[in-house]
Amino acid sequence: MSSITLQNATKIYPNGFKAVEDVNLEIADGELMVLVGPSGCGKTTLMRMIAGLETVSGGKILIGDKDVTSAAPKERDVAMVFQNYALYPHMTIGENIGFPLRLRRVSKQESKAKIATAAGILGLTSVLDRRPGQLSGGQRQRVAMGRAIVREPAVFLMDEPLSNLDAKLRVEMRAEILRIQRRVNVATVYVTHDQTEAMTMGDRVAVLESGCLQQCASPQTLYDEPANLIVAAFIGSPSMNLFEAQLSSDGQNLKVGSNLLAADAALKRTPGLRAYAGKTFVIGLRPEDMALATDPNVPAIAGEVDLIEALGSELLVHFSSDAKRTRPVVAASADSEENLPEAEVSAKDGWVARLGARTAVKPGEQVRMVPDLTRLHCFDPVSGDAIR
Amino acid sequence: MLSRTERTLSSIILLVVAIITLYPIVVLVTTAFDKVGGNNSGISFFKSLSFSSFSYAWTQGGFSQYTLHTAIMTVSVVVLSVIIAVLAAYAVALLKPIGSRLLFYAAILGFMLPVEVLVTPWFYELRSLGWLNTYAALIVPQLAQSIAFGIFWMNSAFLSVPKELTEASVLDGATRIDVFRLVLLPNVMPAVKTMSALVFLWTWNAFLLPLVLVSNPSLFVVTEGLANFQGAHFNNYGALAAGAVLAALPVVVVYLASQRSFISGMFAGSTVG
Repeated sequence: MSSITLQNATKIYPNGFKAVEDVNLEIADGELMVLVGPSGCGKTTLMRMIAGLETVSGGKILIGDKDVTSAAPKERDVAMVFQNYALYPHMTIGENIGFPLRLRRVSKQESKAKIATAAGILGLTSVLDRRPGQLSGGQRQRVAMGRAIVREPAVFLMDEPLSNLDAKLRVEMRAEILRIQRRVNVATVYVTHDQTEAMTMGDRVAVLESGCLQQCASPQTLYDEPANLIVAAFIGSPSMNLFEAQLSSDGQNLKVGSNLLAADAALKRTPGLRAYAGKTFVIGLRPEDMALATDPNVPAIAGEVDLIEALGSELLVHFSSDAKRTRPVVAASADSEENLPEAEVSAKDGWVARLGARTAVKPGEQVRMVPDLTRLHCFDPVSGDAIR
Repeated sequence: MLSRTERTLSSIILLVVAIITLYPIVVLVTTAFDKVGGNNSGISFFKSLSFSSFSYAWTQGGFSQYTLHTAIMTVSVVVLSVIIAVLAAYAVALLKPIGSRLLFYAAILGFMLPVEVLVTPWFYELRSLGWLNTYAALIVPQLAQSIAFGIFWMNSAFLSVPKELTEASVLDGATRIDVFRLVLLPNVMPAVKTMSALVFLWTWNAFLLPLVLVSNPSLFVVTEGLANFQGAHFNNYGALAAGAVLAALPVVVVYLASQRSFISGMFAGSTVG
């Protein structure tokens, strides 16, 4: 039972590539910390640095009070669940779960009891004599968990443990992993690129991009108060609408494209915005913070509906306006499109609004959307940082 | 779907190929079972069932001695080459010490060069060491070639073991020896078995190296013995056939015994690097 402390943790590969840069993070005992970010953001590298599978180029890693920066993996007392489970194919399930105990020369009797307990918790009792090849994906995942919990490690590391499972099983296993994590109650680092996993599982979520920590906070704080454009764009599905806007020199109006909105509510929420009078900045609006205008005189964003996604409980209305869309500059790898929230991929340059399922809108229709400016997010266009 | 005609045609082709392949073997075996002193003027085809040719070849023909020498040579080469090649390939594939790539390419060169190219240098080398006509002459050159092949073969086997298995075991608390013994070795076992079988077959059947390096009949191996026997008993077909069967028998037995892992290992090896 220990905490994990990262102090300016840095990883630079021999070719000069900075995979992780100056990450400071403290994971409390019993806490589940999710590392999230697009492919190539350095989250797996950071986890492997904690495990000792990657050398640390700079900074310190502490487990409990012990500096383990250059300690061998086996001296760190960490257990890791790998993306592809990494079960030993030549051993039975029982032998797989008991392998860490066998290496620690735990007596046969004690080891048998611990394997039985772990198998009981994970519902694997009936398959202990089988080999990994004979098990389903979900069962293999549980065996990997069993091997990790059986030796009661100080720290638990999970590298995208659900990414090889189908959607339904993933939801089930998500709950199961949470249940087991609460039960064993050790500091856990969970790596994923799936923001739903991140939001539902993490006590806190650390968003990484280009090897740098962007923000670390509770899932709700990340959603409500993103620290910068990268976090704002990454967290939430469909993702936040990010568009350029100008505040009039007198601070009265907010101009989004050709639409004029009253700025008072936005200024009340974001006093720092006053410094941007007469300047361009980036506004962010969550899809649920927009409503269809019923009164033609109320200030709104005018546009044309491109696409409607009916999800049963709600409608996702994609519409385009004359406002200029902004995307955070991220050094994501080529294959990272799959990791982007769906709206990033589907809509061309439009807005997405989340409306009630019975709202009467049709593709091609002209609409006016009223933004809830008390929920408006504002960002500096150069640094990308949130304006508070 | 194959049509009826196509199926019949392919069966006929297979049958013809089978006959062409099996006919000499059947003739050889049946001739071997012919009586010594029977009709020795030619090959025999199911004339009699006698072990006299075998007993003649085994005792008079010296095949008992040849087989013993060959067995000592082959077992030594197989055991030593497997131990050395497996350890060396583990180092080359996973530990990657300085110079390991060089060793790997040297190994590839070692088994790519035909034995005809190497036999003369080997002769002079072993003569200067005073090892001609000794077991060392039978074992050392073939051991060298088998190790070269083994490093190449086992290198791809070790590389095919997922890296996560090694990492998982390290995190589970395994030392380097534990990782090798408990995780890697069981996973490359099919490749080890295939390598052993291949080295066994090549070493048992080796002819040119023993012929050049061992000229003393008291240390002949079966292939040399058979050639020698042929010269001495050129008209005794029964004895010659019995000698050939005796020479080939262990190879057939080893092949049949290891057939399953042999074929799976061949395919396992073929998909990797």
